[in-house]
Amino acid sequence: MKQYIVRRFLQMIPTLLGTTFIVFVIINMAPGSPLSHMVDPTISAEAIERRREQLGLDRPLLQRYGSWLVEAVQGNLGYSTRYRGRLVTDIIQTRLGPTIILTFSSIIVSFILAVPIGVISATRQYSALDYSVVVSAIAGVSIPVFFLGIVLIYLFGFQLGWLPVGGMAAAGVRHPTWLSYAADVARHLVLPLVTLTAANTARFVRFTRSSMLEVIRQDYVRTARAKGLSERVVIYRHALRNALLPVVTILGLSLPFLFSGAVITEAVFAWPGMGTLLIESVSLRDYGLLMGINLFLAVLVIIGNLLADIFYSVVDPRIRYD
Amino acid sequence: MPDLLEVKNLYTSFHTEDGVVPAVNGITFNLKHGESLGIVGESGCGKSVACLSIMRLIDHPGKIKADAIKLDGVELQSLSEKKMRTIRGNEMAFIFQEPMTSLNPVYTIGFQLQEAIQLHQGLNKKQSRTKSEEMLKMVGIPRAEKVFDEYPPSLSGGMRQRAMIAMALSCEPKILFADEPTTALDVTIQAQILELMNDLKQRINTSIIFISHDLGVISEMVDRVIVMYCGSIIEDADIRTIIKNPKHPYTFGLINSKPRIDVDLDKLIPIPGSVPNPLNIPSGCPYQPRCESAMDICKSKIPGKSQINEGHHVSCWLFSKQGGKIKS
Repeated sequence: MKQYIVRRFLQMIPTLLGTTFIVFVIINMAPGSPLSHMVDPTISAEAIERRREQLGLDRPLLQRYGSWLVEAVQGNLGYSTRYRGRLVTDIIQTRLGPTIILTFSSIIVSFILAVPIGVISATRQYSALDYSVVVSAIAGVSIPVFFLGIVLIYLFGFQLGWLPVGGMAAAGVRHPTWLSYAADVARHLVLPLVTLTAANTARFVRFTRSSMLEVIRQDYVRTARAKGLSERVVIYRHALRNALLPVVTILGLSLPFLFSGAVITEAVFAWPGMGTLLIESVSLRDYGLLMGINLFLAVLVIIGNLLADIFYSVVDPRIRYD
Repeated sequence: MPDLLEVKNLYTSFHTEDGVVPAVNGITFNLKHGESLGIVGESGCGKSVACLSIMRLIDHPGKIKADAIKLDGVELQSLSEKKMRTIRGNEMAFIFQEPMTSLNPVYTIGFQLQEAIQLHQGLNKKQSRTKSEEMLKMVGIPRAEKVFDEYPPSLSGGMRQRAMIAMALSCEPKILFADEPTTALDVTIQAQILELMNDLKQRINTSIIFISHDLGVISEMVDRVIVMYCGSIIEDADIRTIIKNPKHPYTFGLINSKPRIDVDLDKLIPIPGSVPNPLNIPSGCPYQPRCESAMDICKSKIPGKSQINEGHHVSCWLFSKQGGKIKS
């Protein structure tokens, strides 16, 4: 097992080289450059050229990637042009927390909701309940996150005025205690969380249901019934554990999807996370920041996959890595 | 003393989108204490469904209807689902055809054995472990203590079927349903498993209902045989009579289509045609389109049960007292 994990970490190296290089090339091929947002458009062409040289943007692409890489392996991801020379690692650090809060609370909530719904729907296949679950799951998957977000903002923020519609905490308010700050964040979290969770839950329900439908027809489920076990034990002990195996795999593989869902949600609700930062850095051609976020996401995806594989070997005795 | 199991006019049908599939079509039979009964027939004749119906293990959209399903004189149909669960795995147990898929791959052999033992015998964890290991030893699994902690995928088919037998017998059931328990195994393992079952039957005094399409296997295992075709019993007799003196043309066909070591046959004689589509069962006797001795009456009327001898019945117009004329 240990050996396996080490091997997987070694495999990360070529993957990371590949993704960072591709993103580096693409962003440099895109029109515009950090300079277009840094300097006064009325300034002379010479001055722009001088700045370009100062920043090293005139060097050939491969050379620039090389020097980025050499610094990156030493833990230096460079500076952001948009944030006037702040360290990329610092910026990411401050934005990481909100994203983790949003993404992970959404994964947890949607998993807790989706598994029982999927199981109940599967065990009563073709019932009215099952049909309504299937229809709402398809709706949940089909409605774009930004659309649902805007509808929720309109309803609960604008019409009813119950909940804040943007940001992570009320601006300009001093919170006397840690608890009241947390409560404020929680209020701000509701709408983005509902938006993101709706889509995630719908996806998980569909996976759980179809996986469960397959498993409850297996011979060992009949064996469990023939033993005299109650239906609850048959379903939740014998069937569910088998049905969750593919669901967990899909969960691990869809981490990038979950994260990209969060990018849009963050943008809609001005949630100060990595998603908003990513969109900013792309539109402002903030090369350094963009590469940093890209690297971070790639690591996240790889680790997500690794965790799914390890989890798989824990719950399925047929899978052993050695 | 009532018979151990009494089944009267059992009907099981599946209500599908394409129509009603009558899988079991009014079968009646009894099982005495300590008796072994064989149920023979081609795939799809309803032998497994009949047994699953007795244990009320038919899934939606199946429907079970019977005049009586009595275990030791107790009508099982009147029992609640909860009460029925105390009978399943305890007084009646089932061994399935496919040992490779009948055990849950994510739980250890031991856990799956203990589950039934704890449920029905009220033993604690330690006691049930001892009992499980005893059972594993009894069915001839070497290093039972180790196998207890192993998962099904690490065992061979023969070993898994032994574990299934251990599980089924762990609560000393009155009736053991064995649904083609050796069909999926290779021949040498088959013989071992049959021998084991015969041996265990004596030791814990269980009655066995042995389902098979293989008369050779059946003849080693049972005292009495019922032959099923299209959900109905067409002949029943003791095993010697069925082998030596079959009456129904279908039973005859089953015996002739099997290779025999003692008779020098030039070729095997298969039964022509195949089992009819259950949604479209022929009129009259269901076997009539494949039957070489079919008469006019066979096409229009279903034959009743005629007695040939004490304990030997057949449902065929050839032997009916009301009789049809035998085609010349």
